[in-house]
Formats: sequence, structure tokens, C-alpha cells
Amino acid sequence: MARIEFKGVSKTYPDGTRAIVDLNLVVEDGELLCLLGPSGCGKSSTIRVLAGLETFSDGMILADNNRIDHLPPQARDCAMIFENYALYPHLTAFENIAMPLRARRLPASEIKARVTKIARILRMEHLMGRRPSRLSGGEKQRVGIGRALVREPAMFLMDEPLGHLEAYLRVELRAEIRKLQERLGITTIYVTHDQEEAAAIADRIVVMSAGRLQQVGSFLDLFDRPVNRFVAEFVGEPPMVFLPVERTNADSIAVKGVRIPLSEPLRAALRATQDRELILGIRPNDFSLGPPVRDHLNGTVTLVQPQGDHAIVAVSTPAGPATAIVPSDRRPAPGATIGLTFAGERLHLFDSAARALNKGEGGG
Amino acid sequence: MAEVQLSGVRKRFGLVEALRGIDLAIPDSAYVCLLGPSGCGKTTLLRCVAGLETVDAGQIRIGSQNVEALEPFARNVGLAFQNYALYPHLDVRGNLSFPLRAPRRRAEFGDGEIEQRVKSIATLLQIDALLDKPIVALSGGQKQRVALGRALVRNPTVLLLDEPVTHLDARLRHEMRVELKLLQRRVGTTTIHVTHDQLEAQALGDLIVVMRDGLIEQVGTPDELCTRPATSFVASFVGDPPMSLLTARLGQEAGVLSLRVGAARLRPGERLGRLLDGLRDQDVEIAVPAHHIALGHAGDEQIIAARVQAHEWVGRELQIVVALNGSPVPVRLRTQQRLALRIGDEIAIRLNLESAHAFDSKTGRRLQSSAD
Repeated sequence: MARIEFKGVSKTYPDGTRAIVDLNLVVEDGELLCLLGPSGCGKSSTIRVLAGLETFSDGMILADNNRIDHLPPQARDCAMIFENYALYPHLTAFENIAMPLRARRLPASEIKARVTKIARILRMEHLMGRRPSRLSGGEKQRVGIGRALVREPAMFLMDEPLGHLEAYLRVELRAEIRKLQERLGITTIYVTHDQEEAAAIADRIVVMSAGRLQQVGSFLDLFDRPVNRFVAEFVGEPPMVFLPVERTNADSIAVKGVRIPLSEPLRAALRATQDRELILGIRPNDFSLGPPVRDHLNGTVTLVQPQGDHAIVAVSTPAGPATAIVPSDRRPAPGATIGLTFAGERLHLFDSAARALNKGEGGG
Repeated sequence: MAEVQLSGVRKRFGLVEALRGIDLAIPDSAYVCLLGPSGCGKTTLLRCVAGLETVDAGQIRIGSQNVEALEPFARNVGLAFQNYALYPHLDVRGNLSFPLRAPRRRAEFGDGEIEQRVKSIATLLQIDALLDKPIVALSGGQKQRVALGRALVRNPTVLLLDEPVTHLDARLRHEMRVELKLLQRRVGTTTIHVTHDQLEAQALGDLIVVMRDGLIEQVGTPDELCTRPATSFVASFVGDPPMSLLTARLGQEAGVLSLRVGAARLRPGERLGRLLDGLRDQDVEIAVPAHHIALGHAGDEQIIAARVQAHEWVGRELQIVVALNGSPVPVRLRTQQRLALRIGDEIAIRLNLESAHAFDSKTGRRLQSSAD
């Protein structure tokens, strides 16, 4: 178990590509932290430099306040799990899990005890005699996790471990990984591009883009208090709606001439900036639909997508397309003209550099 | 544009009966989703309509024509797959024009008409700026648009889509769903869309065909599936999150009907009580929509002890999956409360059975009263 700290870590590839840019991040002891971002954002590079699989250009990495970045990979006590489980095809599940212990030349009785314990935790005792060719995708991945776990490492590093599995298996296995981690309390860094997976599994989520850490927080922090437009857009489904606004006063704004009510913190943030190219961000949950009203933002319903007890409504407005989530019993008909209103305290404003004006304040 | 009619369609692969007698009428211009878990036969059915598989028995009519004996190219269907299946050595224009230049179609379209059709479909899909780009230079969403364009360029009578947006990331998937549906509305082509994702089926389908083990469980609008699921299988498949399916034993308590779920005894309420009236000492299956399950407090009525199996944030709500005592079936609920739950925690849940659905535990069929 360990507390991991990245201090000013940067990694630049020989061709000049900056994979990680000045990363400062603490992963608390026993925490499950997700690195979330699109492909190429630097999330995999981050755990690979931590594991020692790749070198980096600048900065340092500490485990429990001791520098580990000069150590060879095997001395860092990380266990990695990849998307392709890379099992030995000629060995049984038992032998695959036992491999790291055999490499350490532990006595056979201890190896047996530890592998059996892991098999029980992962509910795959009945699979121990099988070779990988006779295991399903989910079972193989479980063996892969078992092999990483059996070493009782100081930290777990998982790189899209469920990426290629079928949807229902992903949901099942991610709950299992979470359970395991809660039970064992091993510091875990989990890399994914899937926000749903991150929301399901993580204590805290780090959103990365273009090698840079954008924001660290709980899923709700990212959802309700995104620090910039990238995070606002990347987290939340259906995605946040963005509408260009005009400044009508020092602390008021309008969308296509329609005045938008703002919370006091947002008005204060507005007064503090001269920026005139602002973008309003609204979560689809934070719209209410009603009859069209003069001096409101009105629009035409282009599509209604039922989703059980709620529906996703696409609306074409003079300011641009909008998406609203409404309860099923209040969904409008396609083609209807409706008025959009929104909760003033849940709005987000982004400046011309895509930074949130109400950093750490807006939302719930 | 045409209606599609299937009657008695059967298909066997070796020992596996993939389709065991499919009867289905798809109205002209409808957007129909074939929904079911893997292995239910939905893709086989689509491939039979396309002519990529021959049927062992039964008829397939497109418009007024029996097509089950026709070659795929003669059926005038447009196909788009999950993995796009674009020609990597051709550019976007080459891929879009391919169906018009296919050997069997030579001379049907002149160069001028081909170029004009490619342009108009590219404009419709907003890929007109990409016509000269090689396929490898496209993003996932752009490739999917090209695949759709290729399927539509011949003005097919039926558009067949196999998991067309499944593998796209969340944002793009949402955008493409909207685009697909609006596009279909505009061109009006009868569309059959295969998916395993019930939310996708609900979002897109005018009609949803729920399939299981080579048979149709139910055909209905998204609302019908949610408000009147025909079987417990359909009920356990629909909703966000899906409805929870409980096995309940019917009994009497002081002369009043009661439902025993695990160790708890619940009152069915008026509507469900009427439905179950006359049934005694037997099991029924009860499906409860997630928004009728809440966290309970000691002392509340209608509560059941449960153990947390998983918890995750969905937007601002916490989705909790729990197991009831002695039941292997997960129960799903959502709450706005900000709880710090751990897997294995004991909690109490409260069930509102007023709008629950009841099913015969042997047949899985919906129980209904005459007034229902």
C-alpha cells in the first residue's frame, strides 16, 4: 500500500510530442483513482512512467515520500493489468496466477495457499485447471487480475482492463474490481476513456487532455463544477449544451436577446472579467420545457428519444441546437414549438479561453 | 420505400436453431429496432432480409415482392455494419459511388448521375468536404457517415443497420443517434436497426421487436414495452436502469392478500391486488420500475433488507444495485441522496408496487385483468 506522488512530471517523445506536461498529482493510500480522457491524452503514458515501463523527461515520482523513478520496474512493486490479458497459453489458470510467485521462488505450499485464496476472492476456483483457450473473455481477464493480485503489490495499475469485453461483462467485472479494491485497500490507478466506467469505479477522477491534467475530483465535481469547457463537454451524457451569449451589462447576459437569470456568484464572476466572447453551458437535465413565451428562448422540437421514465428532447433554437431531458409524462411532440427555461444556479459560463468563470462554485 | 413482411421465417445453423418461426410486419417508412441479447437471432434475421443468409422456411416480402429467393443485389436493400466495412484503398467518393459502379449495375447509372447522387448523399450527411479524403484519414464518426451514405446512395427500399453506433464514444454515439433518426425521417426509407442496447432501441425505434432464443417476445412502441411488457423477460430488459424482477409468493395475512419477497411481506396495493385476485399459494414474478424503488428507513412500511452489490454515479443520481436476501436477481434503484456506500453494506429498500407488473412464474406471460 502506498501514497503516490507525481511532482512536475513531463514526458516528451523524441519527435517533440508532449505526452505528459508538468503533472502534479497525489494518489492517496488505498484510493482508486481513474485517469479519464480521449485517446492520446497522456493517461496511459502516466501509468507507464509510474510502472517504469517508460522513462520521462522531467520531474519525480514518489511512493510514501521516497523517490522511485530511478528504480527498475520490478523494484517498484506495481502490478499492471492491460486490455489484452497476455496469459501464457500453455499454462493452466492456476499456473498463470502462480507465475509471479514461482518467479520469486516461494515454497510450493505458500504458492498453493495464495493462488487458492485469490481464486476464491475472484470466484473462479472451478476454472483453475483450465487453459486460456477454454476460458471466456471475462474469465481470462479475471485470471489476468488474479495474476496481478497474487503478488500483493503496493499498487495496481490498470490500463483499459475491460475495453474489449461485452457490455454486460464490463459492468459485472467493474463492480468486481471495485469490490476487490474496497476489500484489499490497494492503491489503484485505473485508465479509461469511458466516463460511465470512471463514474462507476472511482473515488476520484482525473480528466486529462493533450498531456495535461484538466481537473481532479469526484464524478459530481466534474459534472457540476467543471473548470473548463473540455471537462464540461467530456463528462456527462447526453453532453452539455453550449450557447453563445451577449453581454448586456457588467453582470448580465443574453442569448439571442433573451435575458438569462444568473446566480450571484456568476454575476460576481462576470463583473470581474472584460471578456466579451462568453459561452453558456447548460446540462440537459437543467432545462425545463414549457409553452413558448415571448422574451424567452423558444425553439422547435426536432426529435424526441424516449428512455423509459424520461426522454431526450432535441430542440432547434435561434441560438443553436439544445438537448433537454424531461420526464416521460411531460415530453413534447416532434415539431412542437416550446419555451426553454433553465435553473440559474446550475448554469456554467466559459470565457474565450474556454475556462469556467464560476470555477468551483456553479452547479449543485 | 416499402413495407416488409416476414412470415414463418426459420433458420438453422447446424444444431442451433437461430430463428424458430418469425412473423413480423414492418409498416412502410417505419424505423424498427431488433433488440435482444447476443444469440437471440436479431442479426441472423437482419441478414436473412438482406439476403446474406438464405432462409430454411418462410417468406420475406419487401413491398409486393417475395424476395427470399432473390440474390442480395436484387433486393435493393442498403446495408451498414458496426465495423463500417469500407474499402480502405478507395477515397470517400470511391466508397460512396461503389454500389452504383458494381459490375451488376454497369450501365444503369451514367458518370454524370453517379457524381450527382454521390454529391447529394454527401451533402445530406455533411461529408461533402471529405469526398477526396482517403478512408484512413477519417474519424470514427466520419467513417460511420460514409458507411451510411454508401448504404443510402442507391435509394434502397429498405435500410438495414447492424449495431451502427455501438462502438462510438458516448458523445459521438449521442450525436449519431440524433442524426440517424433525423436522416431516416427525411428520406423516409423503411429501416431495420439491430442493437443489444435497449436505450438505443427506445431512442430510435418507432417500433421495437424484442427477441429471445430465435423468437419474438414482443413487438411494441417504446412506451408499450415500458407500460405493458408482455413477458417478464421484456420487463427485465427495459427501463433506465432496467426494471427489477422479483419472485413473490402469494399468501394471506389476516384475510388480506400479501406478497412474500424473501423474508419480507408486502401489500400489493389496489391495482396489483386486483390483478392477483383469485391466485393463492403460488409464485408470481413482479417487475418494479426503478423509479418506484427507494431507499427505506427502519419503521417504514413495505421495506426489504438488501445488500449493496454496486454503486455508481449516473449524472447527479447515485445508481445502486442491491441483492435481496436469498435472491440472485439484482434490484436497481436511483437516488438523489449523496450517500457514502460501500459494497456489502446492508440497506433497506422500499417498494412501491402500485404500478408494478405481474407475470406468471411458469410461462413468464403478463397477468392482466380485463380492465387492464
